[in-house]
Amino acid sequence: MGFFAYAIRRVALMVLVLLGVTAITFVLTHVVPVNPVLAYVGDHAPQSVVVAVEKQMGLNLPLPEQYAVYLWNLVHGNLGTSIANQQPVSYDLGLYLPATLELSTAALLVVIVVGMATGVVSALYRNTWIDQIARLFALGGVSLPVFFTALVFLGVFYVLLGWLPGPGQLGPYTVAPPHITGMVVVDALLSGDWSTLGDALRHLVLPAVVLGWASTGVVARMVRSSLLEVLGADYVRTARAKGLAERTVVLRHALRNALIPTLTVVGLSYGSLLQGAVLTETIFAWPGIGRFATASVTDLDVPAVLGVTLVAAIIYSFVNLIVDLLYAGVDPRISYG
Amino acid sequence: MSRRALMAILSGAALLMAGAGTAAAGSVTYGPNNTVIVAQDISDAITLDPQVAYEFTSVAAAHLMYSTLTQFPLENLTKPEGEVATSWTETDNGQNWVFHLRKGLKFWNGDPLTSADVVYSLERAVDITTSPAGWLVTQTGLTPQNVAQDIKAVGPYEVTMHLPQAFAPGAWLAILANSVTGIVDMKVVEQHVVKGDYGSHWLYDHSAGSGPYVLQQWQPAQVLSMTANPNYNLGPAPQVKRVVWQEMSDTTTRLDALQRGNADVAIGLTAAQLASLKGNPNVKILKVPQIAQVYMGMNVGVPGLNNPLVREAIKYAIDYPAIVKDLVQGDGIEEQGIIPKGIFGYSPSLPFGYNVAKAKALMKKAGYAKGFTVSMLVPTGTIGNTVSAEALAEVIKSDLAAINVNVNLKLMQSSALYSQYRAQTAQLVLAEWELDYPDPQDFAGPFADYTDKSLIWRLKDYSKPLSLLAQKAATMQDTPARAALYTQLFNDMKTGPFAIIYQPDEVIAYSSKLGHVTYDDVNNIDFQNMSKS
Repeated sequence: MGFFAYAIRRVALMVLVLLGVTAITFVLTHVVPVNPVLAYVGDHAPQSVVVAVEKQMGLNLPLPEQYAVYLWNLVHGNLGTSIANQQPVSYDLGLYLPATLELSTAALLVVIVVGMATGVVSALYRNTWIDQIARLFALGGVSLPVFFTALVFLGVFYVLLGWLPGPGQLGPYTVAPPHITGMVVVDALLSGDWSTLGDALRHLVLPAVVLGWASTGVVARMVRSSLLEVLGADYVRTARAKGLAERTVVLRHALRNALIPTLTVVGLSYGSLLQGAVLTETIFAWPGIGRFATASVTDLDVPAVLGVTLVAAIIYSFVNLIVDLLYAGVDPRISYG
Repeated sequence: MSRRALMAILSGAALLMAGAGTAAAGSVTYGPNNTVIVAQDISDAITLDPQVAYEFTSVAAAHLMYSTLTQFPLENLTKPEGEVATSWTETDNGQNWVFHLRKGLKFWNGDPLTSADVVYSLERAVDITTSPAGWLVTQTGLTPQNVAQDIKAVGPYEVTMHLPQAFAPGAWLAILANSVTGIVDMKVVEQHVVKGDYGSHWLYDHSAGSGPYVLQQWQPAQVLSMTANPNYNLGPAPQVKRVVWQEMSDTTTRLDALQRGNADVAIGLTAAQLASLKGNPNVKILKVPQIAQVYMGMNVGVPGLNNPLVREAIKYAIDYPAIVKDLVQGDGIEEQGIIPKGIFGYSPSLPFGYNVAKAKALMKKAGYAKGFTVSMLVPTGTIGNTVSAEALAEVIKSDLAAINVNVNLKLMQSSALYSQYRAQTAQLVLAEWELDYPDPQDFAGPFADYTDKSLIWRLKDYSKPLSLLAQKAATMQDTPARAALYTQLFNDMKTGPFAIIYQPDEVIAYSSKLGHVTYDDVNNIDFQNMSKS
């Protein structure tokens, strides 16, 4: 099977997965005995308003019919209307997704740079105090709950030391840049607003580090163990015997092969990061999809919940596909068929 | 230096200069001395469309962006005065009105404000049938079918109104001061109507008003900022040029921001946090009675609670003074009638003194000396601005245990709570009711008139005498006769399904750099007249 045939087959399977996800989510959200319209109309509105909203949203229809209407709209690119604010779900996702993309990408950079560096150092200095510290760092990232890390980091770097700003994407006196992509750092860069760019980057540091630390630990451990395995291989011994510098041996020969399993972990990490760093976004008041998902689930805003779930499932499936396709580029031994 | 390096440096410099130029040519920015930062949980805001906005944050924002026909003076909600209207006449006991408008008023973009905009805005409030706020207008009998003929522009500066149902004149004037009747620029909104939505999708995150402020940015649950309206001519220009509501869901973060100077105002701090600020020379506290009530509802369809003697016993068993003094820490007052202090019809009488012996005697008389078990729905989060709802519920539970009423607390999100409450399945419920408009009907209707299908209906109390009393008082002017009806209502509801626990204060902590800080339930915080040094 060629590359394109494989990719098409995977996309087709993805569609089936997404259909299953919408069905399960739809059923689960309707099992809970909460009227989602009440989150929108509030406590004071008379029953006539509740009924009018239910009718407008199609919530008075039988459940199978509601699901069928949802699928029909979905096929036409319509994710429905949020019950909580009566806005198109796609509009809301467009508001929140860029912030999560921005935070997740920054966290991924932390994961790749710090995780790989830690893993390499830990492998090269195996069983020394450097290795112990690196492993402790990785263990901390994997073990400590994100909310704990976030609060500690805020307490130390914001409250105590004042080195970094507190929650939010920008400081209160900074005006947001013109909306181009929705990502504040990128928009500030594109519009040449350097002071806003600086403020945005400063606000990005803490949440990105907090969010990235957990996955950094996983990547560091994976890189360490893969590299140790590769460093014992015959071709590495040959490279050393040829008189190549150790740096060349590690970076050009050993690391490339050690990257294959690491690629999987990095890819899966990005998928996890993108799915909504709920706790991180809540503590850092980051207007991302995680916070939107929390509010939607709390209010049982079914169209919004379905929209967020669908987006998360698409992202996760897509990232997995990219990772699988990249294997062929990294490892020429791999072919599709 | 290599040519490549030189080109790189020159390109970077060019970019820098372009960026500086872009920044300089961008929108006006205001420094800290002209900006007030408010630390608050703004995640409740759903839309900034004034005819749809109904949450605390969005109503406060709409009030600053949109003018209305009438307004209330700061900190005085007894009698409305004209804002866009200079004068009015009413006949037929408030069913027919003529409003005369100020001439020369402008919207933020310079468009003239005329009677057509007023009529258009009121029609929106009626026509958007899914609006949570629209009922304030439609309770007068106005419907999408009759609003076009009942509300009319007569020339550019006169509006006539006919209310199909008898309605207290004071109440209608109070509703006309509410942001639901905020006047929008018809010309601009009509340009953004999509698929018959009345422009609501556009007004969700844009403004088109004539108030002292204009929307600058709104990121839901993140930040809401406004700048001074350059064309505002309904009063003096605001001294505070920019107001920013910064989302801070955690009260500790709000307190920290205020203490560090990162916020100028902090709203919604707990009683303990407010107490910790006393003595801080950089912070002041403004405490204002809120026109609201924290109450416990009793479903009269539940065995035990269906006995009026039991309901009376429960009211005697609650230690109201201890709740106000110890739990609420003085940020509220005892109040036991359905009409809170600050509104016509209020009675300061406190018939239910804490009296466990009397409560037990009533329980014995009712045949429930051994008591019974019942569940109470309790919302998560705070209640009455400063108190944990769960903590208050625990106190009430403890009080009722003394008369053998065993309460099982069910803590839940508001949406789940109100699903059960509206479905009439709650046994006991801990909740609060806040002001919509400063008229006693805003409280008497939900608490006493079951035909409204509001609070008393949810508790299955279909009392016709109470309903008729409330309906009669609803159509009257503020006269001694109207006051007498509310006194009668107060007395007749002593065995009713509501135990009013207390009336909370709105407590605002603010920087001592701010001057002229006022608050009331209609005008909210008055940023327009505020100053910052």
